[in-house]
Amino acid sequence: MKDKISKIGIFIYDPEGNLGKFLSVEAICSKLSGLHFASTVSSSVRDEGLRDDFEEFVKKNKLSAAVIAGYSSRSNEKIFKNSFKKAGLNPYALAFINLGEAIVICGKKVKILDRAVQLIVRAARWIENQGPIETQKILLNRKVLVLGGGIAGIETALTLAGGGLDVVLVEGGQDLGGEIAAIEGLQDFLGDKIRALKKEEKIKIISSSRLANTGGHAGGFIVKIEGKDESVLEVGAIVVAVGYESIVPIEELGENFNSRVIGQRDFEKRLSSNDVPGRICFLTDLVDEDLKVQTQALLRQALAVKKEFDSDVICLCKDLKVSFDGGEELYKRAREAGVLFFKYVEKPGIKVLNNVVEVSLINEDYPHEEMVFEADLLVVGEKAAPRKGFEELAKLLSVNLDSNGFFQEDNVKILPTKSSKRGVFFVGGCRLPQNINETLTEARATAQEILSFLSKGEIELDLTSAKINSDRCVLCLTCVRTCPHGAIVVDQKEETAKVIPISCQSCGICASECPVMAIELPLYTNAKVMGQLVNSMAGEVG
Amino acid sequence: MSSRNVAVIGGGIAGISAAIALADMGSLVYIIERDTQTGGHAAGFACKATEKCNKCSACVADELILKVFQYPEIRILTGSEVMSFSGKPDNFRLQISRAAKEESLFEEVELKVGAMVVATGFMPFDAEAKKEYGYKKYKNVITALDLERSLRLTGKIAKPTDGSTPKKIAFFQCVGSRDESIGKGYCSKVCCPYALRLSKLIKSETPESDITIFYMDVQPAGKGFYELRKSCEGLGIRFVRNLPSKVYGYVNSDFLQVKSINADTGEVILDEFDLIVLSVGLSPQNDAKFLADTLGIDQDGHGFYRAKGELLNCSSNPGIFLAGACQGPKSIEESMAHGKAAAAEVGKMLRK
Ligand SMILES: Cc1cc2nc3c(=O)[nH]c(=O)nc-3n(C[C@H](O)[C@H](O)[C@H](O)COP(=O)(O)OP(=O)(O)OC[C@H]3O[C@@H](n4cnc5c(N)ncnc54)[C@H](O)[C@@H]3O)c2cc1C
Ligand code: SF4
Ligand code: SF4
Ligand code: SF4
Ligand code: SF4
Repeated sequence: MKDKISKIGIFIYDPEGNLGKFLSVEAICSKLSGLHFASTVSSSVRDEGLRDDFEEFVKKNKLSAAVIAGYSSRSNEKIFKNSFKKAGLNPYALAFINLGEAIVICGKKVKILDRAVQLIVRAARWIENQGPIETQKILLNRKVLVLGGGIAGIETALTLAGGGLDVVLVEGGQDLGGEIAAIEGLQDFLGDKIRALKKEEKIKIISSSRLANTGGHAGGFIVKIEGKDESVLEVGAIVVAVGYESIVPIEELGENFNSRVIGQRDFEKRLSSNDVPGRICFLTDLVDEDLKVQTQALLRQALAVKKEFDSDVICLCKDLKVSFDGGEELYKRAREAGVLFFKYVEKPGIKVLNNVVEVSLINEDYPHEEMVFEADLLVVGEKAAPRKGFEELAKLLSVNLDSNGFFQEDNVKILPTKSSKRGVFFVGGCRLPQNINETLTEARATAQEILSFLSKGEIELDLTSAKINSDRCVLCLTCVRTCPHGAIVVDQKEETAKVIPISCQSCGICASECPVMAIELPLYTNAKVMGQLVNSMAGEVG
Repeated sequence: MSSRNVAVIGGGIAGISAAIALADMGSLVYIIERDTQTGGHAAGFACKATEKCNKCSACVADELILKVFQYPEIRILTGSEVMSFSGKPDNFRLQISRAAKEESLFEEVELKVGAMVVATGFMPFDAEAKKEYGYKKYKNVITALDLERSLRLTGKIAKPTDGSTPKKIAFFQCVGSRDESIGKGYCSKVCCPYALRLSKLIKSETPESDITIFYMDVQPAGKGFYELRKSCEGLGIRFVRNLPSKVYGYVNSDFLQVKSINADTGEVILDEFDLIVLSVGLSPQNDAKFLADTLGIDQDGHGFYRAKGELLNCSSNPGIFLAGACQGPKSIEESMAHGKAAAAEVGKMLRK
C-alpha cells in the first residue's frame, strides 16, 4: 500500500439517469482544478455491472483513493470497499457522497453544481491522507455457554453441536424442558429433544447451577458457574435462554380472584386430570397485547374442552391473534365444534357469586346493551413476566432490559436475538414470549449466527475501534459508563481505560464524552476533523 | 467436493440469508433466481419511518442484497430456473435453464450439489379475484404493493386518476386471507403490521388526510407493536371492525363508495373515499406445484411447501430444506431467521 495518494478517482454512478437531469459530469470536473483526479460515470443498473465498471476504472487509472458519488441513498459501500481490498488498496481511502440529497436541498441548478463540487472536494481532502487501518488477529474460543434448559436453550444447544461447536448448557433447576413440559401435546416432542441432547457428546449439561461472574469479550468470555460444583470456563459466545414467568393478572382482575377464576396453566392441569365443569368462560387479552401465546393456548384448550367434555365454552378476547402457523384453522375448528367467540373493547365486568362467575360485556355494536354470561369456571390468559434474576443477570453481562423487564435486543431489524454486547444473545421468552415454532426458528437462526462467527476459530479485525491515549486518561470512568456496547474496561495495572476492539462498534460516543479528549477513532482523528473544519471555513471551491 | 455445494432456489430475503450463512460455513452456494435481480419482494418496499424508525425491515433487505456480493463463494445465477432434478442427498443433480447473455437465448447448466434450500417466496394475492372490490376496474382502488412501490419511487401518495393527493383513504384488511369463500383459510401475518405502518406514515406526512382501516382483528407483530397501534389511534386513524362487502364506482371517475354491513345489527353503512388500499395477503407462487413436482416435495392444503413437524425447515424430501414465505406467510425478519435456520439444518446434514 502506498503512503502518498497519487491519483484520486471520482466515480459517479447514475443507474436511473437521475443525475443527468440536474448536472453534467463535465461541469463538475471542470470545476475540480487543482485536484489530481480521474473521473468516470457508470450507469449500470445491476450491482455486478457497477462493480465491474468500478474495478476497471481503478485499474486503468492506477488509483489509490476514490470518491464515490451517487444519486440514491442506497449505499453500495460494501461493493466498492471489497473491490478496493481485492486490488490490494486501502478500503478506508474511499468516501461516499449522496448527491441526490444535495439536489433535494438546493433546488436551483447553479447551486446544485456548486454544492456537488463542494461535497466532492471535501470528501477528496478527507481521504487524501487516510492511512491504512491496522488489522489484528483474534482467536475465538469454539465453545458456547447456553443459559437455560427450556426448549429455546435445548434447540440452540443442539444446533450448535450439530454445527461442530462445544456447548455447556447451564440449567438453574433440576429438570430440562421449561414451560412446555406442562403442555400435554408436546411431551413426545420434548422427550425426543432431551434424549438427543443427552446423547450429544459435544454438549455438557450442568443443572441446578447459575452464572456467577463474567469477564472478557466475544470470542473469549471467562465465565464462572456456581452450583453443586464451581467451575471457570472460557467460551466464545453466551446465549441467554432463561425463559419467563406466566402469572395470572391478579391486578387486572381486582378482588374477583378466587378459586372459580384460574389461569391457563392451572387449567392445563385440570384438563389432564379430567376436572372440567359444564360451563367455562375463557378471557384473554387483559394484558400483553403484543403476545399471541395466550390465543394459541386459548384455542387449543377451548377445542379440547368442547371435544372431550362437551362443556359450554365462551371465549372473550380483544383480538383473535391467529397469526401463527395453523392459527386460523384452529379458530375455525373451534367455531365449528361450537365454541362461541365474542370480542370486547372495554374490559368485561367480572363478579363471583357463590357458585358461579358472572361476566358482563358491552358489545361493540350494541353499546347500550350489556351481555351477561354465567360460568362455573373463568379461565384467564396469563401475563408474561420477567423472572426474578433478570436484573442481576443483565448486570453481569452488561446488557440492557427493556421497559417491561425483558432482555432488550440491540436492533430488532437485523437479528432480534443479538444483544448490544457482541457475543451475547437472547433466545426465546426472556426477550419475547412467542409460539413454539417461532421460538425454535429463532433458536436455530441464533445458533447459525454463532456458528458463522466462531467456526473459523479466528477473526481478522479492522482496527477502526476507538483508541484511548493512556497518558491522558484520568480514569474518570465516563467512557466506561456511556459506551452502549460494554466495550470499555479498566486496566488497573496500567491505570487507564481500555477499549476492547472486538466489542467496539465505532459509534464515537466515548470520544465525544471524554472530558480530557483522550479518545480518538482512527477514521476520525482529531487532527483530521480540525483540518476539515479549517477547510470548510476557508471555502473549498474556486 | 461437490457434496458440500448447496443450491438455493430463489434469491429473496430468505434465500440470501441462507446463502450467506452457508458461505460463512465454507459451502459454495448457487443462488438460482428467476428474476433479473435478487431481493425478491422486499427489494421494492418503502421506508416507513416517521419521526422515528417504525421497524418495517425494508432497509435491512437493501443491506442484505448488497452484502451478498461480498461473498465470492456465492454464485448468483439470475434469470435461471430449475428444469429437472435427480439424485440423493449429498449427490443431487440439477438441470438449470439460464438466460444467456444474448437476449432470448437460454443455456442449460448442470449443477451438482449436496443439499438444496427452496426459498421461492410468495405471490401477492391477485386482488382482481375479489371482484366486489373493483381492483383494476376502478383506478383509485390499489393494492398495498402498488402503494409501497409508488412510495419507494416517488416518496408520495397520489390518486392514480389525476395524481392529486387523496384526502379520504381506506385500507381493507384481510384481502385474500382468512377468507374461506376463496379458499384462503389462513392469516397472512404481515398485512396488519404493514397497513398500520403505511397509514401512520401517510397520516404523519399529510395530517389532513382522513384514514380508515377496515379490519377483523389486529395481529401482533413483535415487541412494541401495540404501541404503534396506539400511536395510530392517537393520530386519529379510524379502526372499524368490519370488512366491506362491496365498492361502487364509475369507470373513469373518482367516485368510490364503500358498502359494509354491520354483522351484528345488519345495518348497511355507506361511505365515500378518494383512495382504497387493499391489504393483499401472501399466496403461494403460481408455479409452486411445478417445483413441488420437480423436486418431489409436498404442499400443504393452501399450496405452501409443507414442513415436517415442529422443525419448519425440513421438506418432505430429505436433503431439501425450506426457507422463508414459500413455507407459509412470514415477515422479513422472520424470513431472515428462517433462512439462517435452514442453513443450520443443511450444515448439520452435510457434516454427517
Ligand atoms: C404489500 C406487502 C407489503 C409488505 N410489507 C412488509 C413489511 O413492511 N415488513 C415485513 O417484514 N414484511 C413485509 N411484507 C412481507 C415480505 O414481503 C416477505 O416477508 C418477504 O418478501 C419474504 O421473503 P422470501 O425471500 O421468503 O420471498 P420473496 O420475497 O417472494 O422472494 C422469493 C424469490 O424467489 C424467486 N423465485 C420464485 N420462484 C422461483 C423459481 N421457481 N425459481 C427461481 N427463483 C424463484 C423470486 O423471483 C424471488 O426473488 C410485505 C408483503 C406484501 C405483499
Ligand atoms: S472518559 Fe476519558 S479520562 Fe475518563 S476514563 Fe474514559 S478515557 Fe479516561
Ligand atoms: S466507539 Fe462506541 S462502541 Fe466503541 S468504545 Fe466508544 S462508545 Fe463504545
Ligand atoms: S426499518 Fe423500515 S422504517 Fe425503519 S429505517 Fe428501515 S426502512 Fe425505515
Ligand atoms: S395479518 Fe391482519 S390483515 Fe393480514 S390476514 Fe391476518 S388479520 Fe388479516
